[in-house]
Order: sequence, then structure tokens, then C-alpha cells
Amino acid sequence: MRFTSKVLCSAVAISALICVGPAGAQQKKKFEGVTLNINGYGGAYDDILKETIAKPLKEKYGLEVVYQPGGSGAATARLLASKDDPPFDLIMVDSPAMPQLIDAGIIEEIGEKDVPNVKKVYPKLREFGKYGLPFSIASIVLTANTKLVKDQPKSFKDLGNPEFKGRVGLITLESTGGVLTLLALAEANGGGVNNIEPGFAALRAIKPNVVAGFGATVPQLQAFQQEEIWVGPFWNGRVYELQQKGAPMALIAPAEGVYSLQSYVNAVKNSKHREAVMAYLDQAMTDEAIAALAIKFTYGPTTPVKLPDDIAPKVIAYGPEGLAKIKTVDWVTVAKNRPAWTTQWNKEMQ
Amino acid sequence: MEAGRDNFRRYGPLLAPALCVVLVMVGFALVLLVRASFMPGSGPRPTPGWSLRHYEALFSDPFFVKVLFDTVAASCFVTIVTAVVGFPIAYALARSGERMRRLKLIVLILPLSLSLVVNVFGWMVILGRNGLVNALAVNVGLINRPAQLLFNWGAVIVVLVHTFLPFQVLSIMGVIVQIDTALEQAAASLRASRWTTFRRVIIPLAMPGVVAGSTIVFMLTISAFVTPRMIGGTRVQMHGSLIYEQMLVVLNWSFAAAMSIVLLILAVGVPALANRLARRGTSRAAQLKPVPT
Repeated sequence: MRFTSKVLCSAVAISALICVGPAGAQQKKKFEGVTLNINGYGGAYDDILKETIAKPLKEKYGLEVVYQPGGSGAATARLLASKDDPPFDLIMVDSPAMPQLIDAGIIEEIGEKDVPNVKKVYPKLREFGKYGLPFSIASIVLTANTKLVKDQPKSFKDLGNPEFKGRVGLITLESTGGVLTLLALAEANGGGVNNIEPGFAALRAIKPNVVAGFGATVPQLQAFQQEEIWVGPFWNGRVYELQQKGAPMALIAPAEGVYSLQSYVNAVKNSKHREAVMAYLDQAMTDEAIAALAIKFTYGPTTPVKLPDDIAPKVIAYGPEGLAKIKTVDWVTVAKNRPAWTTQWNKEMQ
Repeated sequence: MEAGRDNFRRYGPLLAPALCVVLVMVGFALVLLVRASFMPGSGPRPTPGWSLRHYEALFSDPFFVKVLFDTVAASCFVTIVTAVVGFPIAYALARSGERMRRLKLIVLILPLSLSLVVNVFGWMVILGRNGLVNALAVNVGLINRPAQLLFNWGAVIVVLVHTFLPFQVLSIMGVIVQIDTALEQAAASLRASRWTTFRRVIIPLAMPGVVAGSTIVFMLTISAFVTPRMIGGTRVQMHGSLIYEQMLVVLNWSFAAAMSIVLLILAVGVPALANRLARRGTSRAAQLKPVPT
């Protein structure tokens, strides 16, 4: 009895010392106890963001960043629904969604004063003035299963060839990839953002071969892996991901041109932690963060960061020649016309 | 009639708290939704004024009408299939011993515990060209080459039936459990075959369970949007998917509200109509039976 009570007393004393001692010596980090909410794109993408942005921020400032995966469409809708008490402090969206956010007045302009690393971004790539920081360039390319496809398609139009009957997977207009594909087809046939009918005419020619339309990337990725679909438009980074996973998919730059968009990270207005948000944006523009996405997915970097030699040739939008290949798109007009295009797409492809 | 009013007086206060929560949370949101459906704007912000243009756009466009019709037809079909498939399962479960019933219940409810998206992904693997069903069919010699089983109405119906079957089974099982086995024994003692007993004793007595289960399955199916989006391809369009698109992609919230109100009316109206018709049928049958004095 006496022995155990002695042991207990000393144990309590020692643990008390352990608790009090270091706590007294620790100083409070700048953003200790602050949590930032941002929507996430899911999977490996979020893992890289956590590794290159969230982790350094936690070490330097004690800042917590929570990524909530889910489509950027849903995140946009949530922000629009509660402007005064936004559920996110930061939001990542692609170029086509930016006009809606700017119109609704829910994101802030970002200048060099708040985020010093802004000056690293290529000026050409800031499509919306001071709104949003682009951190990645994603392009729509063609992909084909080299094991099953003898004659690889060289353009989106080739998807209408009879040998691809029942093998084509398209991207619906719910995804920005579908918008880019439609635009590519329209502009290749004499149309454009204000005359989309040539694009739909081209789609009608491909329709007999289409087995499914995908509104999200992951089901389409799975369909390619399971050989449900053999050819179709897809994100260049996702084709690279398929190749890394061992799927025999070829990346083909379509004859209609490489249409790209950018992923932006934005500061949401009325966020409770504005200073922390600016710190996040600054960290997001560092070389490590930008290069990590480029290395992992071969998406284009938006700053003049140097990529390793084995990755550089695989990144379509890398370097001055790569950037010159990117076709500029009038996103404001696209945003205005997208509702009508979406309904027409559903009707045509049924 | 008297019994109904008596019941209400006795059990009404017990329902009051739940009713309050539903009225405040759901009712208030519903009122806002109805108001939004009459707003003239086409964007994500509320606009003043009243207009019928979204309802007009919905009903004047043959595409939307066809999708609505397809959705209701598919829901009816899924409801009937779950009732037909679920009834024997419910009967077997109801008449099993305690332990077997618990085990079978777990197997039945397991898919419900997973996210719907995970379920659908699983089905995409099973029904794929290199999937289980095709591999089996080819091996057995039913077909020569793998068939296209995904991205059509068949796949959507199969997944919807699989997803909502537990609701039907649980509902029917809950009623069959209360049917005294003495009734079945009595029928047997009067030289009724198993099939006759089933047809004339079990099925009529279990009808309330079938009706309740069917109502639930119908409401769930008519509002389905994840399944048709993921496994339907471009050819299968259901009303729920279109609402999702208008809400989150096109951001035409007033139009989405109008579509939602129409869906709500159908989801509540069709089962109510079916209920009314079914009750008229059973009451007529009841009139033929002698009333005990």
C-alpha cells in the first residue's frame, strides 16, 4: 500500500512538471488557433497542397488549414448562398467560374502589398486583373488506349471515325473540360464563343460513337482504366496520372489546339482571418508549391520556376514556347452563354 | 371515423414536438423555395417580382417534359420491382429465428451504411466490360463478347433497385412479423395450399407494409440524382440530375426551384393517388366480408 502510494505521488509530480515546464518555455505562434477553410479537389491533388502549403504554414505560424473536398461548383453555390458568413476563407476555382465569383462580389482583389509573391506570376496569366492568383495551368488533350486502339485519333473530329463506335467517353458541360472541348470544336469549324453552333454540329457527328458523358474526372478515369472507354478528351495531368498507374494511355495534342484554363486560388471577402488568408496565398505562390503540382501532375506552372529535366518536356505549358501554345478564351462570354449551352448539350446528346 | 378522431386526440400531443421541428425547418425552407420559383431572375440572387416564366419554360419544352415522364415511369418501375423482389425476402426474414434474422438483416442493410457514391462505383466495376457479370456470362457461354451493361437505363434501374430494396423489405417485414402464424396454420388445416395461403391470407394482411414501403421507395427513386449522373451516361437523364445541374453549375436558382416544386408535387401526389385507389379496392373487398356483431 505504502509503496504504491509513493509511486503514484511521484508519477503525479513528474507529469505535472512535464506539463508545466515546456508550456512555460513555448511562445505563441503568429496564427496559433486559427483554422482556414478551403475547398479541395480531392485525392492526390489535396495531398500535394497539404504537403507544400498547409504543412509549412503549420510549422511556421501554427496555422491549421482544412481542405473540404467537393466540386468547386458546390463550393461556389455555398459561398453565394451565405455571403456574410462564408463557409470558406479561400476558394479554388477554374477560369470559367471566376466571372461568377467576381460578379457576385465575394472575392477580394489581391495586390503585392498583401501577398509579396504575387510579382512572381506571369502577367499574361492573370486573366481577371487583380482577382485571384493562378497556380496551375490545366489543358484538355486527347487520350487513347494504345493497347486497344490501332489508329490513334489526331483531333477531336477523329472521335467520329467509325472504328471508335461505342468507345468514346466525352466530358459533359458540367465540367469545365467539356466547355473547353466544345469551344475547341466550335473554333476549329469557324465558330467561337458567340457562335457555338459549329461546335454542336461537330458533336453531333461524334455522338453515335459516344458511350457515356462524364461530369466528374474520377468516374472517367475509372472508365479509362477499366477499358469501358478507349478514347476521349481528358485533362493532361490526369492522362499522366493514368500513365503513372500503368494504364497504356497516350497523350495526344489535338489538331484543334490545346485549350487550357487555369486554377485560381481566391481570398473570400468577409473572412474572419484575412491576415492568415494572405499568408496562405503567399505560401501558395512559392516555388516549392507551384513546382510540386507541376512535377506530380505535369500541369503547367504559373511562375517562372525551374522544373527538373525529366518532367519539363512532359509539361505542355512549360517555358516560353509552352505558354505561347495556350489559347486565350473570353471567359466572361463563356460564363454568360454556358447555361444555354448546358441545356442544349443535354438535349443533343440524349 | 370516431376511432380516427379519438386517435388524434390521444396521440396528437405526442406528435407535436416532431411536427414543430418539421414545420419550422422544412416548412420555412419550403416557403422560401416556392417564393424563389416565382422570381423572374435567372441567377443565384433573389430578384423582386412575380413571374411564371420558369414553370412555362419547364412545361413548354418537350425535353424537360420527357425527362419528367421518364423519371416518373422509372420510379414506378423500380417501386414495383422492389415490391415483387422484396416481398419474399421480407417473408423469409419475418419467419426466421432471431439469430438468422439478425444476420440476414445485417447483410441486407450493409449497403446502406456505405456512401451511395461508393456503392455506385462498386456497381461500375461489377457491370463493366471486364467486370464480374460479363466475365461470368462469357465463361458460361451465354454471350460471345462482353456486353455494354453500363451507361444505360438497365444499369440505372438495377442500381436503384439494389439501393432502395432494404427500405421495402424492412417495411414489409415489420408488418408480416405481426401476422399470427396461427392464421397460416388455420388455413392449412382448411386444406389451403401454401400458394393459396400466401395469396389469400398473407398478401392481403401485409398490404399496409407494401404500401408504406412502396411510398418510401417511390419518393427516394424520383429524387435520385447521383446514380443516373454516374452510371447513366448521356442517354439517361433524370429530373433530379437536371435540378442539380441548374442549381450548382448553371446557377439558375429560380428555375431549379420551379423544377424542385414540380418534383415535390409529383413525389407526394403519385403515392397519395395510388394509396387512395388501393384503399378503395380493399374497402370494397371488406364490404363483401360479413361484419361481426
